[in-house]
Amino acid sequence: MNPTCDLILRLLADLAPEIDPAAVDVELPLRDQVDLDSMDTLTLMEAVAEHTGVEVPERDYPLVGSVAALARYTDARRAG
Amino acid sequence: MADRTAFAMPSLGADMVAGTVLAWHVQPGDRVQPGDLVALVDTDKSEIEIETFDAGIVSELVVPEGMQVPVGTVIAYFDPVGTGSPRDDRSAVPDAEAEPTRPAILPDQADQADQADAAGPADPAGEPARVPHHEPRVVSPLVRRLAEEAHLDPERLEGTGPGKQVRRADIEARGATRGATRVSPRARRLARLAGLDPTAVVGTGPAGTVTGVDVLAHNRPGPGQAPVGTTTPAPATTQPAEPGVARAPGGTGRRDGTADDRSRRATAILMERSWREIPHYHLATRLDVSTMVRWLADTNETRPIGERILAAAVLLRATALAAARHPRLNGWWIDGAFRPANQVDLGTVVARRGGGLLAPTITDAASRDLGEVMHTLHDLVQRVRRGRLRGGDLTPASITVTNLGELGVDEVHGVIHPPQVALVGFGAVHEEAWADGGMVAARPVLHVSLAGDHRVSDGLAGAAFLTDLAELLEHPEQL
Repeated sequence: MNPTCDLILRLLADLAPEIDPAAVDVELPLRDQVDLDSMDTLTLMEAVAEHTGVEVPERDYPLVGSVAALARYTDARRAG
Repeated sequence: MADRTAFAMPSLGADMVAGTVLAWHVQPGDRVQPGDLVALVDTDKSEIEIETFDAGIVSELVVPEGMQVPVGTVIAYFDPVGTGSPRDDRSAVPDAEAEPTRPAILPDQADQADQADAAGPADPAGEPARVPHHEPRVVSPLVRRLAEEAHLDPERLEGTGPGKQVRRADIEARGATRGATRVSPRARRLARLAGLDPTAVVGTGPAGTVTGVDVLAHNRPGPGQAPVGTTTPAPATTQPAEPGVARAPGGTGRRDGTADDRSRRATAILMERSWREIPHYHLATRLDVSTMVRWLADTNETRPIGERILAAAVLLRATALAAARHPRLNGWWIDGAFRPANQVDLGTVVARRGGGLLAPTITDAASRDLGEVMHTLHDLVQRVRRGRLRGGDLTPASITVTNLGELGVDEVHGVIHPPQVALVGFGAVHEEAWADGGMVAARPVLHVSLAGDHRVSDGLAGAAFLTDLAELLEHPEQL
């Protein structure tokens, strides 16, 4: 798996300890698999920014609905 | 002469009667500042880090780890700072000078604690009198067992027997002196399973000890009542499905269910009291929040991620300002009379991961700007979800906000948290048909509700509050 996916899953599990990262399908929308409210989403994005330097603006939230999509988004920004 | 300060078990919510010291974060000799976390305390609802409001040097930890004591019991003493070394200082300060400070302590318990102190002769070397570190003790198995049941450490007691040996009477006297209810281990276990506070059960054992039989008798379900160990359903408006985690139908076993059950039971007691005592009136209105939604999007676009604002913070900030303008919705009904609060201590309802709700408080919310409210809310939610609140988070709120928007609920008709007199409810922002000037358009709409205590305010006052709240939300840039 993509190392950024691994990172995001780890951040997710840190945020919500009840989540089993192995049970998350990275290609499916995250909100269908785990319960995250707007504060959790912000906290996750903050953690992603802290670890990758990529800040996802709110208008791009629809583009990063799954773990894999968020990883691709982050990797693309980091490369560019 | 400088006084030493008594540090008491704080009340961490209107429904808390007792707390268990799980861990001390300080030791005798440590210097503490206001705001320092001194202990981890277990209540019915949560494990909570408690803070000191005073500066000083810890002179004595009165209550050992693992011991449950009623709210108001002295659990530690601090010596004043700057009057010499802590050890020299302590022997010079008479115990009778102890003065209760915040958190409040009951006078009779202070007296009892002081008498207990006076019973032990002060060590000339200035060692805390009842903590002889280097003296091996002869303790009989009976005494040891009694001590364990009373959550006392016999090694740390000053005995009255030959060679200061600890005798049975010493343990019983200590238990009584501390005001602690003695609870047998079996009773404690049964109480935990039942989500009961064992110290609230009438004890019929030796010297009033609460036994397993007492707990069973206390908790015997009547016809139609739920048996021990099942989850008590609570009013839907205050117990929404937790966003944190999906709970397996039928429960996930007793061990997992326990904390949740205790939390639910505490909520159930509070809500029962509310419904029994408070004559509620409910008002609701719809707001076009296009301005707020647009302002949030624009603002967050230009801010670094650490300074983004969520709608929840805007709603809290606006409510705090509106509450400050409407004193009859901001305060408490106590002993048959309304007592207005002198600031807005804003209760929020936060879902815990693993189930249950907590209502931590943003103190003096009207004097915090929007960024600060957002920052405080962020920290509060993190602490709730990590299960480590601080004592200050549970300052009694003067008005509470419940926001069910995250659950997709349109509207909430809330239940007031006694002794408060009002609760503001927010639903989700949805696009709805909005008629304006003879035209119908789709607009983001927010449903706002107010539950008020009719003994204190009425529909007229409530409507004025909602009007002000609506106006504040019209101008988020001014919040």
